[in-house]
Formats: sequence, structure tokens, C-alpha cells
Amino acid sequence: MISDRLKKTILNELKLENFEFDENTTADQVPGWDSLSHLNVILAVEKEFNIRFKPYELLKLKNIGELQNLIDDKLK
Amino acid sequence: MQFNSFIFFIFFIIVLVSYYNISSNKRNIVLLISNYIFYSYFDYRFSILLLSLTTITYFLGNFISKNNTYELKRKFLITGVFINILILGIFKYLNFFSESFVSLVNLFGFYLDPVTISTIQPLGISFYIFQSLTWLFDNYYEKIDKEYNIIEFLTFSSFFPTVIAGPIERAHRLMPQIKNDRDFNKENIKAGFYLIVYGLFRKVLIGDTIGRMINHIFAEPEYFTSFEILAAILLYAIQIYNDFAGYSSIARGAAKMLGFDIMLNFKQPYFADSVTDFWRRWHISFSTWLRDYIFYPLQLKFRYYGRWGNLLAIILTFLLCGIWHGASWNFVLWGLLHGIYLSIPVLTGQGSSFINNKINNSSTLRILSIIKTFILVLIAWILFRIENWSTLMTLVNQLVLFSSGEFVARFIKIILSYYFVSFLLDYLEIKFQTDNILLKLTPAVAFGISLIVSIIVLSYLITSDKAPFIYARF
Repeated sequence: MISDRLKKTILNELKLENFEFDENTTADQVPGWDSLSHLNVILAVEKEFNIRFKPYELLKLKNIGELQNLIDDKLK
Repeated sequence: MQFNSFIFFIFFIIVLVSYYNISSNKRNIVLLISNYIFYSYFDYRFSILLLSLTTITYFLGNFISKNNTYELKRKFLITGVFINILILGIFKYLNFFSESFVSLVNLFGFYLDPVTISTIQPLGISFYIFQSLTWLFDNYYEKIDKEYNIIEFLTFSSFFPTVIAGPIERAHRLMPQIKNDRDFNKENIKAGFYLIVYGLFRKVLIGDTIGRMINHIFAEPEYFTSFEILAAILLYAIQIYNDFAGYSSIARGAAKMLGFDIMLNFKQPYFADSVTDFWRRWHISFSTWLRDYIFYPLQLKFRYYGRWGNLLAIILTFLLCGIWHGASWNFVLWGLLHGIYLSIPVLTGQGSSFINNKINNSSTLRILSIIKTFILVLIAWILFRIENWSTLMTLVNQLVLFSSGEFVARFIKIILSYYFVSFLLDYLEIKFQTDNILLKLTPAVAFGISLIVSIIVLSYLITSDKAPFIYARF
């Protein structure tokens, strides 16, 4: 399940009114989430949750569900 | 053997017949043998290099996937990438770097002889090494969830439809298809055949016929007027697109007939409304390779430097993009120029260009953006096409003379005709939402067109010299 906090952070960064996410949603399915804005989304998520990702952890991710799991693991 | 040769068609028919007349569990063996026959046709010694390098890469990829510690995975990845890049460096770049270094040293008054080796570059080396590297990366990033035996990997890394000039497939996409059974399917044969016909049309009837007209203009530009040189540059953009998109369609078609889905490599690139958009549509298998395995890791590494980090990642990625195409400074500059184009929206903020602020009508804005993008790409193609700096200087000198000559009307007709046909094909691809447009026509029409195109292509192949695929030399 994708938390409202993560959803809001991504939507704000991409300046989207609304977009329905589920665990299997991938970045290329989200309007505006391209290779250049990817960096800003990651920085916004790090800032919002006050965490730091390793590049290897991020490059392994297949979808937003895995990003949520990674955030949850970091916050434990 | 080249795709646009008789020997390939005979080879391919024999492969298809033997492939589908053998039990499905032996098809990978037939395919692997076919791959090596195809590749050895150029030079059997290159096959030894391909086999040795990919065997080492297979085992290193397995070590990566079977180790649970991050540090060990990383060590095996670095070893694998190092070995592959070292081999690529020796065969493709050693002479270039050695001569460039010596020229630099000689500038400071020293005298050195460059260390060079006398060898021909193994065909498709940049393509098959980049394809094999995805096995290492995909294992490292845990994108491969099954075990694969060495036969499956060697079949993947030498896959004959793509080994010479791509599309560069990913291990996590193509290896599962190699593992699965592939039964004879009439629809696959039909779809593949139509893609091959379509690719041959683009390559032989558009790309090659343009090549015959413009090659001598680029060879001796001093004998041509400004208008003729401009015409050659404009036609080159259509030639390189149709040559490479044609090749990719033939590769996808041949793979489809064998039961494989190879990724789309072109998506109407000259309809792009920004250079960023162009790279989403041009040589997609390579641009996404660079994005996933080079740009993203660099971008994440430099992320705390803000937009300058993004900029550095873009420039480094596009320098690599340029030099991947050839060991020559013109390709480095071509890559750098595209890197600069892509850096501008990052520096200025996207959507804030002069055109965007002045034009409100979205259709007009899109058309102007497409023209602007095309001009930028066209300027970069000049760097891509030149063979040496003196040619570039002559081209520029001739262009600024603003001379027109007596063939203006004829060249305008030629340019308009080729642009019309190339853009019509792109329009039909958009309309039918596929690059296999023959498949969308009624069977009788599609068969009729295929027959006519095949006869014309065959007569061209009989009566004229076969032009090699431009990208096959990379």
C-alpha cells in the first residue's frame, strides 16, 4: 500500500493534481516523471522522510511499491 | 553476411526450416550454431573473441547473482565491466587514444611515436559488448529472477538478428524469451516477414538511393554549390534514419519469425518536439541503455550538487554516447553537442524557452518546436557525417558562399520527395500505432505491396552495389 505521504510528495514534486498509484506503478507510467525530474522526486522523498538512499538501493527498485518498502525499512 | 544480401536470405530460410523442424528443447542449440555461422561469415577469428569474452561474462554474472554480499557483488561487476571495456578499448579505441595522446604531447615540443596495433575492428563489438554488459548489470540490480545455463546466455549474447547493429536487448527481457519454448506460429512468420519487407524498403529504396546521390558531395564538397551541400545535409538526415530504422525493422522481423519480441528502436524521431524527446525516439535501445546503466547511477551519485550534478551526469553520458559510435573526435563532439542541447532545459527550467512564451496556440507551438528540434539535430548530423576536419571546413566554406547552381529545382524535387515518403511512413506508424504498418492493411493489399517491394528490392540488389548499413561499422 502506498502511503498518502509518499503519494503527496511525488504529486507535489511533479506538479500533478491527482494520479492513482498502486504498488505496481512504475515511474514511466506517471506523467512528467522522466529521467530529468527523477532526481527531483528522489530528493523530495529524501527530504520529506528525512532519510538518505544509496544509489544501489534506488537502482534496484522496480516500482513505487518497492520504493515504499525501502522507505518503510529506513524508518524502522 | 549483411541483411541486404542474397546469402543472408538463403541462410535465414535454412535456419527457419531447421529451427522449426527440431524438437523445441533443441531450438536454442540450433539458434546458437546459427548465430556463430552468421558471425563467422565475416571472420571466424572474431567468433573466438565473441565466444571467449561472453563465456567469461556469463560466469561473472552468475557470481554476482549467487553472492549475497553487496561488496562481493560489486567486485564481480567491476571485474566484468573492466574486462569487457578493456577488450573494447583495445580493438576500437587504442589507436585513437594513443594517437590523440601523442598529438597532445607533441604540441608541447616533445616527440613520441604512437603505440598502435594493426587490426580490423571486430564487427558489432560495441553492440554485443553492451548487450552482454546488461547480464552483469541486471544480475547486480537483481532484475534476473531465474537461473540460466551457458547455452541460453551464449545464444543471447550472439543472437544473430541483433549481434551486428542491435537493437541492444536487455538480459532481463530477452533471456526469459530464450528460456521459454517457441512453437511455430503462422502469425509470427507473417508479422516478421512484413517487418523485413518494411525494413528493406526503408534501407534499400530510401537510405541507399539517397546515399548514392550524396556520398560524392560529402567526399568532394569543394566541387559543389552551397545549395547542393545544404541538400546533401538535409538528405543525410533522412538517409541515416531510414538506413538504421530499416536495419532495426529487419532485425526485429527476423527475430519475430524465430518467435522473439525485440524492443522497438525508433519511434518517429523527427516528430520530436525537443532534443530530450528526440532521444526518447531515436535508437531507443541504446538511449535507454545509457539512461539506465550510466545516466541514472551518475545522476544519483551527483544528486546533492543540484542542477549542476544533473548537468555533469548529462554531459558525461553524452560524451560516452558520442565515443561509443566511433573512435574519432567528430563523434565525441557530436555527443557533446547533444549533451549541451539537453543541458539547456536543465539550466533554464523546462518550458521557459522564447518560443513557448510567445506562442499560445498549441498546434503552432508543437510544429515550431518540431522544426526547431529538427534543425538542432541536423546541425549535429554534420559532425556525425564528416570524415575529417578539412571536410568540415570545406563544407562550411562552400555553404557561406550562398551559391545555388543550375540544379536547384531538381534538388528541391528530390528533397521534397524523400521527405514526403519518409514522413508518410512515420505518419502511418503513428496512425496505426505500430511500426508494422503492413500488418494493419487488408491481407491482399499488404501481400501486393510486399510483392512489389520485394521485386524492386531484389532488382536493386542484383543490379547495384550493396551499401553496408551505416551503424554496422560501430
